[in-house]
Amino acid sequence: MKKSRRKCDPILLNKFFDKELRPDERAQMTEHLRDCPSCQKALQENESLSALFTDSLDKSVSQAIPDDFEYRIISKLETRNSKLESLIPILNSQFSILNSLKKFFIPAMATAILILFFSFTKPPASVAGPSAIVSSFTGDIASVMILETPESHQTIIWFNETF
Amino acid sequence: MRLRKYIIVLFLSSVLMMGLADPLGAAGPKINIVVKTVLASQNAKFADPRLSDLIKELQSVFKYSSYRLLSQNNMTVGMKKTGRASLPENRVLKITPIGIRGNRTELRLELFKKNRQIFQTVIQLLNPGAITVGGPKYKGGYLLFNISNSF
Repeated sequence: MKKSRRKCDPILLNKFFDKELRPDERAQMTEHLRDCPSCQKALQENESLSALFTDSLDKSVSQAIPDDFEYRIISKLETRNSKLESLIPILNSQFSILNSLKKFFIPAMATAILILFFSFTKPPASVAGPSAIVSSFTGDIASVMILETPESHQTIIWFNETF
Repeated sequence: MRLRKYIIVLFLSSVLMMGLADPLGAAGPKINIVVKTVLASQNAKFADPRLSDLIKELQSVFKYSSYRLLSQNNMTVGMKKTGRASLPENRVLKITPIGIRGNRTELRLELFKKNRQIFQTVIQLLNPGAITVGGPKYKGGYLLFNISNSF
């Protein structure tokens, strides 16, 4: 029986299994495996273990994600899109109501505020001009004078009775 | 339809607010009127302390040395209502607020003596403001009627 050129090295064997060895190392390991039953056995165990793990993973994923998963997502997205599209006319009508309100509500409120403002506020007292403006004067009198004080413009009516 | 409802509600509330807010209202404000009867003469030197502000004004126009407050009539008169102030020698002053023009009260003043009308005048008096009407001879001096108003 021909003897293996290399010693058994589990680390190198794992790297061989994971295809992480350089080409020259890989060639040496291939040659070693040809003559080493224990390494052959270890490699087979690795392969079977890996196969088992991969199968289990595939099975779990296929159970977790059903076959129609993609179809269901797409159909949900389509439904949502159609709902959004159906909302657009409603939103448009709401905006048109808002626009109409803007047309009438804002001017009406502005008018109401102006009316309130002028109702509650009094015009400032005018300091210019007489305290009283005499619009008319009639009577059975001899004479009448209308005076105004120089400082505060107080109006004075001075008349002489005939009797 | 909804918009029409909004407009109707808004219009009615504006009208309501205007009604509540309008202090002048349809009936108009009540006018507070004070009539002070003053005897001005040159018989003595006297300045009634109750007339200090008025005397300062009158002294800039008249040369009387004595100003004495004879009586004071306070009244609150509604629009188009007539208030009366009794004055010396059976005189009566009737005061009728007839309107508001800006910051002025439009007043009709009628002076009667023994039920005979001496004069009638319409004035627009500042709010607040006063006018002095004078001229009748009385007890060696002259009567002055200082009429002030506010609303």
